[in-house]
Amino acid sequence: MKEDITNPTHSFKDRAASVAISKALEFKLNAVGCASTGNLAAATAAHASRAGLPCYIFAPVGVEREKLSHALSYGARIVLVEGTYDEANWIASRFAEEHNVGIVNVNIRPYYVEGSKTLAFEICEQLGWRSPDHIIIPMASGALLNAIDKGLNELKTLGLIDGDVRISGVQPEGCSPIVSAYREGREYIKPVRDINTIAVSLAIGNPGDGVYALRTIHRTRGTAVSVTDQEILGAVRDLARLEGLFIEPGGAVTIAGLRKMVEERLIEKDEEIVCLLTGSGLKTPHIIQHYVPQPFIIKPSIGELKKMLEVEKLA
Amino acid sequence: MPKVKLVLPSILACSGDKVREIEASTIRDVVEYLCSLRPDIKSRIISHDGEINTFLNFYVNGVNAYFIKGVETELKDGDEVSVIPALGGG
Ligand SMILES: Cc1ncc(COP(=O)(O)O)c(C=O)c1O
Repeated sequence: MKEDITNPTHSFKDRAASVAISKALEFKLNAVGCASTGNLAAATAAHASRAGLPCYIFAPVGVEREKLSHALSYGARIVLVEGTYDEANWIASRFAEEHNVGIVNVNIRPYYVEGSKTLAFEICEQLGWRSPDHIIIPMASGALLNAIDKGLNELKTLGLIDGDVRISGVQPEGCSPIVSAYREGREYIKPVRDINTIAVSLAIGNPGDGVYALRTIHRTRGTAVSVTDQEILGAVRDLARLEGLFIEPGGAVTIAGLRKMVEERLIEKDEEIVCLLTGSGLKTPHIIQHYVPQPFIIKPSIGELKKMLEVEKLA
Repeated sequence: MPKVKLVLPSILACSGDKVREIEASTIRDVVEYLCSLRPDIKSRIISHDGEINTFLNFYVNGVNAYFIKGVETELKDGDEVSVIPALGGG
């Protein structure tokens, strides 16, 4: 598992935002911003405040409140669009066109990807400068999956790694336009508008890099699977209980996907697999209510504690 | 033909105006106009089956034409068509 939750804003998006905003400073832009499904918002806002630039964030109303509060705390201005991520995105695009603003996923996007690819560098570095057999990646727009591929190819060109890496992607079933295209053998993406998933950070119905993600998956002999909310929650629970890792649904889809790939025999027994865990569970604390017991509330008395222990059959 | 307001991203407007008025009765006419502006990227605008490629999105008064009637989406006088390149996330 490659957990990437100890960055300044607790998701892999810090990698992308930090490079993009450094470039915005170099280009002498007046302000920065992004369209976000949640995680990019906090990352952009944090790096903008460090850079001393105003920050404008466009997000669909469905984004988790915790993620918005997080971004707001850095002083960002947030515009909530009553619609999908794709609708927030087109508003952000128009905003970028009409003002001298660097929107990290729109007009300074090439640099965003340069940041994301460092995740591939770090995986190989941590394995002692070699590549794993297979990397499993959460997909929303498909950008991260392609960035990982780019990073691996660069290391290979430099002679720092050799061997081929299978690259696979996972999407939540309630928003899986890339996986549908893969399954149906299509080379193009059919955007979806009716989105329903607990993995809100992956809720992009019209994935800009979907076609490229499909090509990367095919080229590397990877695969693509979708997972249900129930399967995602199971992965979040198991990561916490078995590994001590508290991961948000969007970041945990890879473990649910891995399970499915094993069941469907899409994985070889001897494969060395790296699953990316891209965002912290602290960003979506409300979701654990779906599977954890409530805490005990007792009066400060040993009698009450004993009663509780009896109920729990711990005594 | 109805006169519509076309809003182009810089990469398609090249050095011309980003906002222009063109005559178009469907999105197909807008697409043809774009293909005449940039014949080099025609295959990126239209897919092999004649549908809009999702590399570009056509928003008609704020609604993605893909979800209306695709290239057959009808336009009327005064409609605003915004052309937005595909965007990553998120
Ligand atoms: C937690 C998390 N993982 C992965 C992704 C990958 O997204 P994309 O495929 O758009 O690069 C995102 C994007 O928002 C995310 O928030």
